[in-house]
Amino acid sequence: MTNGQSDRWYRAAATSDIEDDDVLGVIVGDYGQHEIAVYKIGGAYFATGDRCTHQRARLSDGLVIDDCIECPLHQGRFHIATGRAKSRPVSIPLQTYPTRIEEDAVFVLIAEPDAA
Amino acid sequence: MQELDELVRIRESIIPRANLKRLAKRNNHMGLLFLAFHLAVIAATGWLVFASRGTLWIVPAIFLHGAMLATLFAPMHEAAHGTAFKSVWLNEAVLWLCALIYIFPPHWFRYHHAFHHTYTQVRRMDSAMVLPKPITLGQYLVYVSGLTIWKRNLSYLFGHALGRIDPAERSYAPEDQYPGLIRQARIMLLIYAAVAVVAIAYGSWAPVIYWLLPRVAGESYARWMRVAEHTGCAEGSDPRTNTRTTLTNAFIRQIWWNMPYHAEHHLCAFIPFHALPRFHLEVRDELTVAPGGYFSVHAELFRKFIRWNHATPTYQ
Repeated sequence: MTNGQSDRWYRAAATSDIEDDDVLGVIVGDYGQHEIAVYKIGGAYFATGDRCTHQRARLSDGLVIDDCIECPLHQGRFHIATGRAKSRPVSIPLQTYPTRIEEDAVFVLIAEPDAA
Repeated sequence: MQELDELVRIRESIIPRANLKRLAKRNNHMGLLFLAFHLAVIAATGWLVFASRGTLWIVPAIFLHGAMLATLFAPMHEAAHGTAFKSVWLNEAVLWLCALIYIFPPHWFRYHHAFHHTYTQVRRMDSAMVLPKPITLGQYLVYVSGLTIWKRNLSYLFGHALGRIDPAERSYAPEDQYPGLIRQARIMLLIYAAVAVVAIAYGSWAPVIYWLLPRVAGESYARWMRVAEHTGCAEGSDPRTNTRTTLTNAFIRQIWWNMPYHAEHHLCAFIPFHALPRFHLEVRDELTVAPGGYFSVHAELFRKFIRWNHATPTYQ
């Protein structure tokens, strides 16, 4: 990563913490600065930002419907794998993060600003 | 967002997430069944209008048909939430169909209503706060007449079609959606114009007799029902006290897509309409429930809050 940012893997959750076709909200970062929603869909793990782009509701309080996460407040849906806004009132896509599994834990890759 | 955090905190204290997940499961068939029933009722009341032509019975028939057209608010509302059906396109299609008949710009309604859920009963923020206290008899009658809704809806419809977004709308509609709101109003007006052209070409009054006249006559019924949802309830973001569930008969629950379980709906808007009766059984002890039906709610509002004028004391 360039432009004053570097990628960093964070441990988000134990794989056993997330039920299949469900979502778990976690906070990662040295200062707890990243609110992340981690999903398990059909055995695969995904991660997105945990705040809805419409009115900042916590998506991990919402419902996984097939391959989408539905906001619990106004029911806008996002495609989990791509972050694409799928139904109004949401229109701005979600940030998505790469994931990897290591020693029964889910890690998410987040771009951090380089220290000055 | 303080209101939202409060709502989530209260919800979690009332019902575990596992129960919500179970109740929140979506399907298409329940929405299609309710919609079929709804359209059959509307067809039946439309037939009553047809059968009563040339008699005075046409007056009550038009009011009855209008009341049933007004209940299309329920599937429109459910589809706007995305909970009428599992399928996104079915929700959008039914939202559009109902909004066209109801004469309500559909996406404008969606944003307006979303704001109502965020700021339920928060004064000066709730976009759909009905009759905040103190309430005068005049305010009650004007609201229930339904006349003000036409001024508002038509001004938004024509305003959008002319490319104007009202300053009040800017607080709840995202800026990137303005072109969509404008495009939608133009499409709606084009459809209405096409209906008018066809009716004039065939010399038919059918759109007036079976749609416009009943629609205006029946709006009072929808307004009267909606008064029971929040009016007289506590102000503030606590869904246990700011919204009222009204227990009523099976036909009313069915035709209103279980919207009488309104406190449950506000506690958790992602529970679909068909699961609200089951949800009610799990949370009813925590919520504000009016057991005596809609007439009883209105009678209580008159007894407690509605006065001749603002100078008359109210008792809370």
